[in-house]
Amino acid sequence: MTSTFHGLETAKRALLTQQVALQTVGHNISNAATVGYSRQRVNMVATSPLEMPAFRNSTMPGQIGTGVEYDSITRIRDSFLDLQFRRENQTLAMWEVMEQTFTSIEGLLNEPSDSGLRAVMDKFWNSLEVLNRDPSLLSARIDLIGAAVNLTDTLNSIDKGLTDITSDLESNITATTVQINSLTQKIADLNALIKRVEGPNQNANDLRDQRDLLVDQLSELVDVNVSTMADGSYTIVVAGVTVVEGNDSVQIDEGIADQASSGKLAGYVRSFAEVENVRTQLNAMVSTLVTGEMKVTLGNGYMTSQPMVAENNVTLSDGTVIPGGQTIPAGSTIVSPAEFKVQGFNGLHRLGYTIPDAETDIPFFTTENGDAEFTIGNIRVNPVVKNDTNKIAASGKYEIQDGKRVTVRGNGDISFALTNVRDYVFTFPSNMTTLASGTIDDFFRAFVGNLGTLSNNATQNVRNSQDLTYSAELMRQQVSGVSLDEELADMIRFQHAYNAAARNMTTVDEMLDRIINQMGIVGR
Amino acid sequence: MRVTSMMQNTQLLQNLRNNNRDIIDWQNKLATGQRIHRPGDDPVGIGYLMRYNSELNRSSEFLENAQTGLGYLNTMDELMQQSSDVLKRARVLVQQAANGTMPDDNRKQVALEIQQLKEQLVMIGNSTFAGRYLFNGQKTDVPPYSKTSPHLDQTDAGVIFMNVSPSVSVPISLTGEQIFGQAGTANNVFQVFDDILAHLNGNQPDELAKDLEKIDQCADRISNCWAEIGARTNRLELVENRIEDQIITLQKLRAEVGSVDTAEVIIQLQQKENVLQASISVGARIMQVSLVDYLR
Repeated sequence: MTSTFHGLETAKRALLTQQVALQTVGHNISNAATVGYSRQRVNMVATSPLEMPAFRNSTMPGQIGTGVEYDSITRIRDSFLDLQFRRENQTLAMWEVMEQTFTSIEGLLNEPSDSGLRAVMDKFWNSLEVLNRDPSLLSARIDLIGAAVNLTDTLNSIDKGLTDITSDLESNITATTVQINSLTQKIADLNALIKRVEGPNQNANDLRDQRDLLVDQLSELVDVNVSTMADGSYTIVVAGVTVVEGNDSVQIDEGIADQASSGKLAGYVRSFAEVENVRTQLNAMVSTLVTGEMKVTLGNGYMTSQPMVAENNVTLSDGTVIPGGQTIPAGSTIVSPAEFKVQGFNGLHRLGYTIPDAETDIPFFTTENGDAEFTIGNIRVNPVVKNDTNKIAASGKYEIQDGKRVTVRGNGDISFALTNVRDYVFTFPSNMTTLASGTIDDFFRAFVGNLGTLSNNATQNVRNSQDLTYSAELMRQQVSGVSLDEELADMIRFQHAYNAAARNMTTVDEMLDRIINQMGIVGR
Repeated sequence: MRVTSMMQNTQLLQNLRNNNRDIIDWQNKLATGQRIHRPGDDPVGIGYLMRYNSELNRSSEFLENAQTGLGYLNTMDELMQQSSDVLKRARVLVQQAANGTMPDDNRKQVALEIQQLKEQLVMIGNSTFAGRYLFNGQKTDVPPYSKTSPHLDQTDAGVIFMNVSPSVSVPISLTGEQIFGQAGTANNVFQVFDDILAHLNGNQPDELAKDLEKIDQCADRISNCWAEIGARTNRLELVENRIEDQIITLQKLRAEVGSVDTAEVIIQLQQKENVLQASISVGARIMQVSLVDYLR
């Protein structure tokens, strides 16, 4: 049996339910521009009809409807798309960092330009050519010192720049771990809150949105793996370490950066390796130029000031022939071309004689700290040479006059050999570089080309990841985003339903009025 | 497909970002005229570009070397001309003096002029180019011949070379002894002059007749050197032309790798600009449309 007031109850339920639906529309519209918000839906169901099966059922026909109620308010979201977005987002973040690093390195090397390392090296080689044109010319010597100092200064400043980049990377790694810790702390707090709030018919929609947004942010920093537990909490693993489990979060330190496989953190670590690689390659170039083993032929012959061993048979001025591999006594005048094995630019310069009194064995470059190994950071022009241009040993001949050595000023045998260092095919240290052999210029060009390939690759990867992240984000928006037109249409729908329910209640009211106040009064 | 307002927004922003990135890229190319601004723009091209730049820088040095060498040789050429003239004059004088009919006093006068000619030759032997003594091998800071005994002065045997390409260096200098004869020998031009002077002062016309032959030998030697200088000048002029051609070729190659095709870039830029304008105006128009405007 239905109650007399059944109609009133049905209409009331409709009014209340449509009101909730309208409120939710309002909530959606308010959050149309909120980042990470997913649209919410009121799930309406018809209430249980009369009569439900029980011990006693009336014989009344039909199942009479009893109105509407909502059993939950849910957010519309696809966790698979979240997964996709985060995967692309962490790759994007990594490549963005790499691209920035390569851009910085490219800026540092400043190629192609008239002021980059290539231009400075060109200048250095050219001033050797000027020196060779007239070895006794003072201005040629000053020019060479200027070009050499410019070369070492440029190398030193590249070293400084690389160091700056690595220290920036280091501080970024620290800052990122702090961010990760703060995010995981918040996620753990939200885990606790969501568990407390959620129960039968209770969905913590907005809290879940917040938590997902935090995970999105986390995915920019490091590779993140999320599993949803039965109690609704997230268990989060970053870089192989479980950082959030239930209500608890574990603080991490910079040590985990090495295990990161993507995200900014991995980008920083990989950038670090790339910067070090750049430094190693340039060090290989510098140390090969200055001390790499090379064979040099002094075509005009040479005057020895110390016992030496030539590679070929040489004839001395007195007619003796000294076979290759045997010691040539000090003070010999060689009159045939002589091939010597020397240790790079420095080794060759050590053979030459300064003006006027034929000092010898002076290295052209020295290290700042006295190390035997030359690097882009410690290479300097030997202060002895820098402070006295006469100490540039361009000559390979001297004479004894009045018991003293006097250099043949116009002799340019050593300066000539020094200009040829540019074309000498060196063997580069295999533990530092993949380029086996080539001239110094070749090496630098190959190095810059390689850097360009890496940088180009990083830029391409950023663009690809950007597109993928963008399309994942678009798909997420397609599912979860608020469409204002849709909400407005819904608003009209619920408004009409609300109005109609009110109208229905009025009708029931009139019906009851008819029975109670106007029925059975005939003859009164 | 469900389209939400946020999607429209995101897409418009993404498109604007892409268009602007391209425009900035082309703009930069157009403004600088350079196609490659950093190694990443063209990892292969940058290698060529750097090579061409280096080669160009280097070529200008080789060109200067060749020009310096030519300067050297031209000076030497003039000096050979002068030496030859001196010897010609000496030959005329000696020929006159060798004639037995010439009075002894006249021979003294001839001797005076021969003395002047000898000093002239010493001066030629001590000539400099750009402050460097030409005929003393590599001892460019020491004059080769003394005034008192030039016939005994040994010149340095060193040779001055000029680099004209990475593997080619050309000898430039000739030593005094190559031109004026070995020190201390009878053929040395200064020794010949000394002999002539002695014969003139001693009135020995027969000896003077023999001296004529020696003058001819000296003149031959100088002519040979002169020819050698001419040959070297030719070679260096060829080299100079080759380097100049090479510079033009290199500049062309560099332009092909590194420079932008202005017409192409302007068209590209125009296209990108059109797309940008379209995306802005479409975006602005679509985003304005909303159901709100049509609800009472």
